[in-house]
This record gives sequence, C-alpha cells and structure tokens, in this order.
Amino acid sequence: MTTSTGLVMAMLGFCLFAANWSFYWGTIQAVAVPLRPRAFQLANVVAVVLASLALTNEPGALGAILAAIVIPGGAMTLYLTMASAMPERVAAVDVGQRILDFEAVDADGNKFSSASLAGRPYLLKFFRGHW
Amino acid sequence: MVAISPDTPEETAGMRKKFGFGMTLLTDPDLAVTDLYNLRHEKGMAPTPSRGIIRPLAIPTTFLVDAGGIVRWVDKAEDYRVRSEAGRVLEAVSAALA
Repeated sequence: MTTSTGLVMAMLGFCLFAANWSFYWGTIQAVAVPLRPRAFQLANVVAVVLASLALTNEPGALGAILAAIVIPGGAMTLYLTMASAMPERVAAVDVGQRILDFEAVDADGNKFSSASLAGRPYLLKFFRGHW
Repeated sequence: MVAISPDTPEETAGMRKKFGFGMTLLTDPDLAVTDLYNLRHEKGMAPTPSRGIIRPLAIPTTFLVDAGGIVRWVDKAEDYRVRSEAGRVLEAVSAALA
C-alpha cells in the first residue's frame, strides 16, 4: 500500500487543526483567550487549505474523512473567532450612578428583590448562563 | 455576589449543582432585567438543545456596587471571548472599596 500525497496532506491538515484547537482550548480553560488570535486563525486557514488540496490529490477514504472534518470545522472556527464583537450598547447605569432596582426569580424559583442587597457592597454580574 | 443570566430556574439550578456555585444565582429568561440595564445581545450564541444555537443573551457585564447603592466600577465585555478575569475583578474591588 502506498501513501498518497492527498492522504499525507489530509493528515497534516487534521493534525494542525487538532493541535491548534488543543492549544486554544487550553487558553479557554485558563481564561486567557487572546483578544486577536491571529496565529490561531492563520493556522486554521493553513489546515483548511491542506485539507482542500488533499481532496484533489486522491486522498482515499481516510483522507477524505479527515478533510471532511477539517474543512467545515476550520471554517466554523474562523467564523467563531472573527464574529466575536459585542453590540455597541451603553449600559443604563455608569460609575457614580445609583444601581437600578429590579426583581427576578432565583434558581430555586423564589422571588428576589435587589432591595434586599441595600446596605452592603456587592458585585452584580450579568453572564451568559449554562452551556 | 449576585449573578443573573437568561437561563430558566431549572437550568440555573442544574448549573449551580454542576459547578458548586455559592453565590446568589438569578434568572432572567425574558431578559427584563437585561433590558432594564440595556445589555441585550440579540444574537448571542448558546447551544441549547431546546432553544437552538442563536438566542438573545446578556452582554457579560459586572457592576461593583457600594453599600449606598452607587456603582463604583463597571466591567463590560466588548468581545464575547473575553470575560471578567478574577484577578482584575478583585483588583477593582480592592481599589474601589479601599
């Protein structure tokens, strides 16, 4: 059995894609995601190009499967890391202003009023919720 | 510390159990509080089986409020991948309340 150029390219693309994500996942876990992950994006482009070229060089079944993982995965990764900007909104309150009173329901289904926080300092955090 | 998200009480309770959070966790499924603070991110990405991938979320934002109810520090994300890092929050708390 001979290893085709296409298979080698597909394997290289897949290894680059996997190593790249392994590195990026580490930055997520460490809460140290780079604001402009240019090297990560460039490596993704190279992986996608390799996988795309592999498809035109007789990659065989294994090479085709690897390319089929890398091409959409890499494209999605590029989208996710480029479309990261938040909408430009000015929060309703800023430093020096009084916090706005609100009511909500807690995780146990009980009613909560921000008035219960009066008289002590606290952090109010808006977050995305569960994954 | 009080944290609020667009999740339902059931989802929030599940997350509290999973991560062992000790803070007060509030829910804002209709984004009423989020809108009150003008923090809606209309096309947020949060893969949730029951609600698809894209749904409205809150822009990750932290307010430090003093005992008199006055905002002393605001940390608002301009990039969804960058969160309020613990060290930066603690530094701001120490500086504002010193």
